[in-house]
Amino acid sequence: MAGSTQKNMMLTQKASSMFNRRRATVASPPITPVMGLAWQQQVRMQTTNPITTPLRVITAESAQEGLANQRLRRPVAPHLSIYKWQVHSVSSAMERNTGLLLAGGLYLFGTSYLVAPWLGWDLSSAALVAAFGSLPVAANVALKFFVAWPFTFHLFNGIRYLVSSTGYTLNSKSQFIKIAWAVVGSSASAAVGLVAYG
Amino acid sequence: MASLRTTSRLFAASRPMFRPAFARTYATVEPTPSEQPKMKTFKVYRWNPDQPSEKPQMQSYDLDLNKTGPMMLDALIRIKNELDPTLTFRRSCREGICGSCAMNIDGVNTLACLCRIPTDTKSESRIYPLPHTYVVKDLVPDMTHFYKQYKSIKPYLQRDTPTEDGLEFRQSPQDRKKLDGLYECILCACCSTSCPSYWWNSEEYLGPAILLQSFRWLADSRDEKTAERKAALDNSMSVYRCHTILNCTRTCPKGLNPGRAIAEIKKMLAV
Repeated sequence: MAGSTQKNMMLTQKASSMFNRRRATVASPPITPVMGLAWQQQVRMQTTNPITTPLRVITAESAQEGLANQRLRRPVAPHLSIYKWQVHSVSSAMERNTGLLLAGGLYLFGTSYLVAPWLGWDLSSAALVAAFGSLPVAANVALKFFVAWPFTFHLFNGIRYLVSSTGYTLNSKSQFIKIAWAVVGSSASAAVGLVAYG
Repeated sequence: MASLRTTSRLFAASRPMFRPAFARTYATVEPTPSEQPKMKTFKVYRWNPDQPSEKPQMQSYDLDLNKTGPMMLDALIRIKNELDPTLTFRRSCREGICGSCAMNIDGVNTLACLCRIPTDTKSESRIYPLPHTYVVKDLVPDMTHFYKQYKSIKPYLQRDTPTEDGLEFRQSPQDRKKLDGLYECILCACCSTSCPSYWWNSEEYLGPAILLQSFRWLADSRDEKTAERKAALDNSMSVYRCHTILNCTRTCPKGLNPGRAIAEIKKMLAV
C-alpha cells in the first residue's frame, strides 16, 4: 500500500515537472498524491483565464473536512416563493385556509356568545340582524360573500378530494385541472346565490 | 434545423480553412443573415461553494434566440460555452431519458432538454435548481437523500418460489399492462421536488417519485412480497403526507401520473 502511494507520488511529480518545463510561469506547489488533478486543472484554466481562486492543497483529510464545511453552509433552493401558482395547488392551500377560517370563526363566535353576558354584549339574533341592516348595502353584500364563498368552496372542494381518493378523477392532468376550475366556478356562483337569496 | 446541419456538414468538408478553432455544438445554430436578432434574457440561480458566505443570486444572460437551439438546455449550454464557463448544471442525454437536467424553469419543474424556450422575448426566463433541495453548486442539487429513499423501498423483484420449468418469471399481457405508466419513470425528481408536502416533510414522507416506484413493485404480478411492502408503507408519514395537491402529475416531464399511483396505494392500504 505504502509502496503504491510512493509510486503514485513519483508519477505525479514526474507529470508535474513535465508541465513545469512546458509552462515555466506556473509556480510548482508542494506535491501530494491527491492534488495532482486539481492542480492540472488550474494550469489548464490558466491558458484561457487568469486564476481567480488561490491555489489550495487538498489532502484526503482536508477534502473531507472541506466537504463537511460546505454541507453545513449549503443553501436550500427557493421553493414556495418561486413555484408557479396553479389551480390545484392553490385550491389545496385554500381548502386548509378556509377550513381554519370557518372553524376559527365558529369558535370565536361561540366563545364570544358564551362570555357575552359577563361583558355586556348583545349577540342575540335580533341584534345581529339589526346590526347587518344598518350597514351600507355594499358592505353588507361584500361581508356576506366573503363568508359564503369560503364556505361553499370548502364544501365543494372537500367533495372533490373525497372523490379523488377513489382514483376516478385522476385519470389525466387535463381532467383534474378542469374539475378544479369547475369547483372554483361552481362555489363562486353558489356563494353569489347564497348572498342573493340567503 | 436538420437540413441546416446536413448542409453545414457538407460545406464543412469542402472548407476546412474557414472552420473556427472550436467547432460549434448543436446548442449554437448559424442564423440566416436577414433575421433581426431576437435577444432574450435568462436569469439563472448562482451559488458558489467556494464562496459559501456569499448569498445565492440571480445572474442575467442575454442570448440571441436566432443563434440558439430550440430548448432551454441549448440556451444553458450556449451560456456555458460562449458567455460564462463557470455556470454549472447537470446534463447528459439531451433527449429526456437520463433525467440529469431536471430544474425549475419559469416556476415549473421540468427537464431543460424537453422544455422549449418561450419565444416571447419581452419576458425573461428564470431558471432555478429543483425547489427545496440542498444546492451543491448553481443548478446542481444534492440528490443523496432522494436516492436513499429509493433504496429504502427495495426497488427490485422479491420472490422466493422458483418457476415450475426453471425459466424466467413470466406474466400475462394483462399483468404486464398494469406496469405501463409506472416503469417509464426516470427518477429525475421533478415531481418530488414540486410537492409542498415533500418540501416540508422530506425526511419521512417518501414523495411522489418514490411512491410511484413503490406502486410499480406493488402492482407487479411476479413480486411475492406485496404484504411486506404494504406493511412498510402503512404509517402516518410514508404515504399519508400526500394531500392530493397534484403538482406531481402536472409537472412530470414524462407525462406519468404519480398522483394516481399514490391514490392506488392508499386504496390498497385501506382495503
